[in-house]
Amino acid sequence: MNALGILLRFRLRRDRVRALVWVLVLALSALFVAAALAKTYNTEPLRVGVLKLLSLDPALLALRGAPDGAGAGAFFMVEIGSYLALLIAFMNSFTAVRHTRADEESGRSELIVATRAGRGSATVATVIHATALNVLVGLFTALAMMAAGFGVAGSLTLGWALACAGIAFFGVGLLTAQIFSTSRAANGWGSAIIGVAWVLNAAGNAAGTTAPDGLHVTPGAAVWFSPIGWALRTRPFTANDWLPGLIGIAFAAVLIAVAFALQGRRDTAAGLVAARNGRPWASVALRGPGSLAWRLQRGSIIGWGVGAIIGAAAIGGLGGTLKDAMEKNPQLATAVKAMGSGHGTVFESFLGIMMTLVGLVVAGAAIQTMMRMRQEETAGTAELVLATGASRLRWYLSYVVVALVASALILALSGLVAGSALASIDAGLMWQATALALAQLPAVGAYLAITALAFAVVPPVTIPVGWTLFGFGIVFGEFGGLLGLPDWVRSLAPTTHTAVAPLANADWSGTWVMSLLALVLIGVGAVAFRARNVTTV
Amino acid sequence: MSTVIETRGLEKSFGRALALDGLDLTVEQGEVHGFLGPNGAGKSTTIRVLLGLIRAGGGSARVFGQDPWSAAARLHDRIAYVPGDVALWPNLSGGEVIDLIARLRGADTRAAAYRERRRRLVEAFQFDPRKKARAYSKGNRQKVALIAAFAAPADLYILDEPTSGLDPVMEAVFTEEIQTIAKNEGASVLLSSHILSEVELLCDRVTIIRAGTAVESGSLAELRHLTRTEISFARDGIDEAAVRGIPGAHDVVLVSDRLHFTVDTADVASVLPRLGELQVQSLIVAPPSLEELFLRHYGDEISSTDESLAATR
Repeated sequence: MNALGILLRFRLRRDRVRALVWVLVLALSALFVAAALAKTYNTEPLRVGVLKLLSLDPALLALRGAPDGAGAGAFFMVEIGSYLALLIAFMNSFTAVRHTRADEESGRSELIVATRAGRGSATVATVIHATALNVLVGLFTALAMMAAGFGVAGSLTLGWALACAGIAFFGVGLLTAQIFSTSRAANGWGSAIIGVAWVLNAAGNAAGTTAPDGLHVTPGAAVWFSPIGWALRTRPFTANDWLPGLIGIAFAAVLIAVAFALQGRRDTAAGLVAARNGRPWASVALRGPGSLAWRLQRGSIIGWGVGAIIGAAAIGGLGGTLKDAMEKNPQLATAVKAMGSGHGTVFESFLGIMMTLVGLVVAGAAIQTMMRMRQEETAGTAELVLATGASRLRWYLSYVVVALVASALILALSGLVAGSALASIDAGLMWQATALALAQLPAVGAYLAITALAFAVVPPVTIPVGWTLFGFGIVFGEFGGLLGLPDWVRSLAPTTHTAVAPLANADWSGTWVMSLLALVLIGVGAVAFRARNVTTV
Repeated sequence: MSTVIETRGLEKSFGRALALDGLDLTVEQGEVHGFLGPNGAGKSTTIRVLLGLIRAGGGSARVFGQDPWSAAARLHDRIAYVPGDVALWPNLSGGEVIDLIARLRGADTRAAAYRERRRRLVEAFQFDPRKKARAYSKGNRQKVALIAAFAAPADLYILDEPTSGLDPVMEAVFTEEIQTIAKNEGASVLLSSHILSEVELLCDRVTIIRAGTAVESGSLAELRHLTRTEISFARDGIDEAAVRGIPGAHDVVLVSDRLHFTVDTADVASVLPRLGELQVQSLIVAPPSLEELFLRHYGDEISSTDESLAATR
């Protein structure tokens, strides 16, 4: 067998579980959402009602999608389309980095490059591998939609759209992997670009023009600058137009070509961004497990923090557009109110809904900081610290404290940013926004505590548990109502228990219960971690 | 003299695999103790138990008279550790890691004594502390751990194959540092290694382990008595039968015009007059090396594997 064939089979072997998980996540998400929508919005009048309200509110257009008629398929796309594209985008960007830069960084690729497999063949194999994965995911998602009773043409268009978005972001990942010398940086930049693409699509939708029937929205030009926009403009289940998907493929082809060109010019293991020297002495600030934990996590924490604060700024901005929209249409006010707790002014409930989103982003930072403990353990660097005078407890609590303090700071900042933008509507929103943002801390603490407990009790599952938790938090907490999930399932998401506006008569019981729960779990984790072996496997 | 490390019947298993099977190890204060064994014999597992990173499954372990598991952090203030495979934080510079570890060990990194010691070590090991750790080779990562260990004094140094990846010049620097530490500071050293010349040069006592059990332990002089001294000389028409007649001579062989035989080390003095009578030329008396000692224990493992292979056929 030639080298390329061997490398390709090797990738399939390494990714067999991962690929299966991705296929299942995409296909089952589609199936699950389709089934839920068939239950909650099973008649056209129901869907018409929702869409008419949606098309009036730029904030909702941004968070959902541009309506394209009241058909079941089109409604499905509005609710979940951009999120399915987001999932496949991350899958591809990570896959590209995993099989190129990550291998190079760890030195594994030297073993390969030193054989008859040339320097480029690993990348060629990765391109073929990723293409196959995308075809597979697209196909199975289409099958899932058909199983849910949707038409063949629309289902296949959705599969095509997802695969095209996937390959476009594969190109992004492949390129960042060439530019940066660490997989961490490559993945960070890949994720940032995915975020920008999602925001461009959302902004395009928000700026869309609504047809007189209130059921169709033509998105603004911004969607044409986003691979997610290209994918969604195939308009599955309505127009079934495969052409915009080709833009994604052309985009990917260009990026892949650039990646090959870059690889041909650079040294193995080097990036385009040259590594800088560090300081010869440690600064006074780097002196214990706590400052080390901060130093190691600050990049990730700042990344999540910037995301949360941009989100908070968007809340402020959308609040303004919501105000304008509501002045034109009082119907909207009732609808937005119904989505929240049903108390307080429209802006207060709006703020309540949106702050849980910010809370989730901050939970991401906290979960990742907890995961870092496991990464330090498997890398062998935890040992270096634990073999000094730093006790197990101190090391563990360092990460917990860094995560909690950073979360509190990001939340406070987000609250201030959102609040100052909304202050023009109602001065009282300023402090309410800050208080509501900080009220997310116990929920963040719950996410953090469960991940920490997993690390202490069953270390090998720390990272899967962390990400699964994050995923379920989004699905249960943010989409629970939409999907018609039973209350007890929704209540599993910590963010559903945070206090909501108006704060004057808010229910704080959830806050206390979650704070207590988080502290207990962190404590149990500390005891369990002290009692177990430090292990790299 | 007090005991720094003492394990009795130490056991540890990972799942069904038995890593330590009743290991006895004693390190006295002020001694450099060699800890020898083939790959996978349980050296690193023992060290990780002694550092309280993993908990012993059975038997007892004491470091400075305390339980290394429950008193881990307190004990670590007196210990400097160099792992066998040094992992570093890729985005920290070597200099930062050195200072961080020293601070975590309780050293005052602003003190002139520390700065002087660190400067001397960085120079001796020809190390560039500015580079980010991801840019270091294996040898340079090893230097980070070594400099961090030596930059602040400790009562006990636990070194797990510390010279792997170092070039011979750096190995010599390492040897010098260990000798300084042992002589001037009265510190104890547990040196795990499979480089026999290094152990022979540095260690007062050695423990050889195999399959999780100590098979030999004692001073080098004591251990040498367990093996024979090899004597060889030019054949020059000397009758092989006459050599065989020497009392105490074993394994007489002729290898490319030289006659070789071995005697118990205690009998060397009594053999020499007989050699004088035979008027032997270009005589070489080779005292037993650690390598032979090692092979004596390790060698039958090789032959037993051969046997088991033969048995399976």
